[in-house]
Amino acid sequence: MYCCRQEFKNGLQSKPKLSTAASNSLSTSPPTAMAPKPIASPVAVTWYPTLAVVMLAIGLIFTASFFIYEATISRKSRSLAKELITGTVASVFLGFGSLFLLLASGVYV
Amino acid sequence: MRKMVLRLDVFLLALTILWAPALSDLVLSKVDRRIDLTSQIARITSTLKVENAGSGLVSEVLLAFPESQAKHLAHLTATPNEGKGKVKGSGISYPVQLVHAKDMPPSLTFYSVSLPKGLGKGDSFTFDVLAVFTHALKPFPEKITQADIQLLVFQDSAHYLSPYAVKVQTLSVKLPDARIESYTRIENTKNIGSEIKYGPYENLPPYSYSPIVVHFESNQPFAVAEELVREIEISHWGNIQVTEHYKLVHGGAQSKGEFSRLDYQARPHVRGASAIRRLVAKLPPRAHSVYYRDEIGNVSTSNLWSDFKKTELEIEPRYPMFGGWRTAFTIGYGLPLHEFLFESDGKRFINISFGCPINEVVIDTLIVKVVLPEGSKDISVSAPFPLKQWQEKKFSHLDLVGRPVVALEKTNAVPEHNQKFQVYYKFNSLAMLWEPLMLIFGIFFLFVTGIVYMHVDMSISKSSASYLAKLQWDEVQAAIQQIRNIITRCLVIHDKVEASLRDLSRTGDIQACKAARKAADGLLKELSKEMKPLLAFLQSSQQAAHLLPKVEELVVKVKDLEERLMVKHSTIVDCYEKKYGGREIENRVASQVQKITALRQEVDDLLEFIDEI
Repeated sequence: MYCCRQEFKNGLQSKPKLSTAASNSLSTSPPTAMAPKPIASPVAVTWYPTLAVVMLAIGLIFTASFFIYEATISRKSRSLAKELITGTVASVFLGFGSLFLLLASGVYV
Repeated sequence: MRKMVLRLDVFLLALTILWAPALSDLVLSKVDRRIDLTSQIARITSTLKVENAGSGLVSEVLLAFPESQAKHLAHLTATPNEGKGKVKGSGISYPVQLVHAKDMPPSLTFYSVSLPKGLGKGDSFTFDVLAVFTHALKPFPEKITQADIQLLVFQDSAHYLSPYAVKVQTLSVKLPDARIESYTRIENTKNIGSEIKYGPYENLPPYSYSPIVVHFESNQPFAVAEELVREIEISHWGNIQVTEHYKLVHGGAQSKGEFSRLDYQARPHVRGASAIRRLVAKLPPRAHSVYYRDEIGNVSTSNLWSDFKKTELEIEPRYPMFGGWRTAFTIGYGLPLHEFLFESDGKRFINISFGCPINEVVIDTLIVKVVLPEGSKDISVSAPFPLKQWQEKKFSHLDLVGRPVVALEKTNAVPEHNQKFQVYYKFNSLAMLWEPLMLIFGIFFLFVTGIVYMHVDMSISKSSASYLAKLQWDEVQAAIQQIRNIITRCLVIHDKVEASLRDLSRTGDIQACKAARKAADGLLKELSKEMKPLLAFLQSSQQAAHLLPKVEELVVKVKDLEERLMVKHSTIVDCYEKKYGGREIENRVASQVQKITALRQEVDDLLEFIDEI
């Protein structure tokens, strides 16, 4: 019942063992492929606020240009492609910007 | 007290009736037991020296616990004995298993320790057994007032209860305080300060039992978490969020009578000695965004210290907790992802501590929920002790199908269970993009709505005069915009012609200048062709009547500008061909240049006027 499973320890203790072996022999051989590799976020956490501000700013500029275009150009001469492209670019920037804003403010999605 | 001793006697009687001979030929040549009662958790460390007196090979040693203890047993490990200067956490422990033997007394619970190698004839082996008991210390009296001290009772046997004969044994009981109310005195009993020593006793037969009762003062807080739910949420965007919901009760002597805050504040160590004042949680290093709140909101009585080794959170409940009082609160913190999440063999796993970070807390029901990111597959758990396990779904921010949750339950958890456990799962990194994609599509949907709204004709009556007028006005506007665009392009071409003239004065390349002129002529002709139908439309439209003069004026002015520019151009080119001097050329085109500047100004004014429509 209260047995100590060795299997769970093998996975984790392989790392310290490797490092001690390396320090003893002073060799710089890289750890084997079996050693667990830490996983970090794709973007450094410290960049989130900057990315949020920059991407939201770009996104809002495109949004503004989209609405200026909608309001000033008459219905007949408006081009659907241009509207869609501006909208897509704006939504990509706003989407990533709001994601980074959420992450920077501590809402880890 | 007398009743309790009587009960133990009955138990002893039962034992003698159910006497059974030891199965193997093992003999315990030396047993040292140390009972640590300094906290609310009773820890019994026994050093056993096993000797094989028979001839067969023995690889298992049985440990016996009376039923009264077995039901409080929270943790049991057997580790190699490393002498006095023992190194903790060497990580090696021998497998311990619950066994049900038929020919053993049923009032005893047996655990068997598998030795690393079998004991031959005459061999001996020494190892440590750590047994941890919760709720084994009973408050006596069970109810005290605010001013009373808390007294506890602990029962055990002075003789090591074992299916084997024991040659030499000693027992020492360590208490938190030197103030001892009473303790059972048998032969060879000594009391030195806060320690009581029994033994040595020699050559005792199997199943010897000599009940002892220690009644002592202890003002240790009895923090018992009736339920602790730890939620560990993994976000691959760089964070592990841990949220711990505590339902805490003071499990010591019940408080009776009234509570005086004044007495408590004036002399806290006399009036409320056993109350829980504060709790200290040892969080992992680099824990951030730590909070401590309950149902009402933030609890401000907390302190946080951190260094590179640990983060210490000291929390004070809203009120000092006396015996039987309850509180519920939540603490939460974020941890950096890369210190707890790893990848090996294509699988990701989180390696994080199982138990509760608060010191010396007994947890009746501990539920650990690991919330994995959406889209995790092939989930498996590896833990150092048996756990009840099930799976759930949780909906959190930006979820479509819900996040898989691995729930693990452990009853009767003690700080010894603060061991690392692992949850393995498979996850595709591209699945992280679901969240930004959802945001992008959400915002894109708004833009599409805007486009549709601006394009769709939403008027109800399609034949009313105002509607038709509006349609016409739209067309007029479109035509004017097109004319404006054409004129802008014309002006750009004019600028190019001017530029070619400047190039000519710099390089003297007449052929290039002529070519530029030719190209410009062609383009301008095309543009004026484009302009014609638009102008015709404006002339025919009633709506444009008031704008027409301005537009026509603009068109005429632009035409005029073009002509003068061309005249200027031909004159200059002519002059260059005839190799006139710079002054001469300037004189010839001076009047044209003046007019061109004036016209350009007028055209700009008109364009501004048209833009304002």
